[in-house]
Amino acid sequence: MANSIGTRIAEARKRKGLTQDQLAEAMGVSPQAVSKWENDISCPDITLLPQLADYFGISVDDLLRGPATPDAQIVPEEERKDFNKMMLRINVLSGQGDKVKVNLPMPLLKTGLQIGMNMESMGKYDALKDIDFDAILKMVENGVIGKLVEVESADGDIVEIVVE
Amino acid sequence: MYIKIRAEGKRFTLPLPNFLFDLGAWGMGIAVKNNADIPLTKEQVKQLVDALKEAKRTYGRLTLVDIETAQSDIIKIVL
Repeated sequence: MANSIGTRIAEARKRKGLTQDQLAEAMGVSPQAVSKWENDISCPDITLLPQLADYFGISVDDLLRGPATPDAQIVPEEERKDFNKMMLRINVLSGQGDKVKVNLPMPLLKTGLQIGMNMESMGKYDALKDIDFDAILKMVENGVIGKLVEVESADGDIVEIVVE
Repeated sequence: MYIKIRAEGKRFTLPLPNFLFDLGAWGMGIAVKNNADIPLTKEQVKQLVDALKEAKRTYGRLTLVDIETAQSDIIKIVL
């Protein structure tokens, strides 16, 4: 449930430095209702969504679907995030309906590649076979982040690789 | 670190305490010393163990791998 609406509400609330009680008061609901939203037990009423989104300063779309993954971009050296805190996310949606999510901290990926780890063996998915992870690592070290790979194989496997 | 498996209505959680990594690295060292056919050197295993420990320090309980099959079987590897 990492990308659920509840998680996004909780994250937005924490970003604003609010407690569940404060958010509940602002929205005119009970603190228990907010707790249920954040734990994905229930969802906010549809009429509350614009109010919630405005309150957090985001769009209703971002609240419902999460912010769109940014396309690949080169970040200037002085604005780059610490390499040790960067994450490579691999999402695979196979043609057979399997879903695979891999979250690899960049230092772990770098070490894995240095010792000869074979990323192709991660799964049986064709779309992963020709992805050059060494090249991805070099790109990230040179400041490229965002959605670096989006592939759809003939078998219907969809692979997305995002660096954050 | 632990591995969670849910398949065919059964659930397993296999805990892998950190000291097992050290034990693994140590065992690998002995195996390499005895010319066992292992594709990794002791230093490489140590590098990998150190990187895993560092990731654990930085991210805490990070889900490294999350697989959900079309049959709703689930495998999760959590740091």
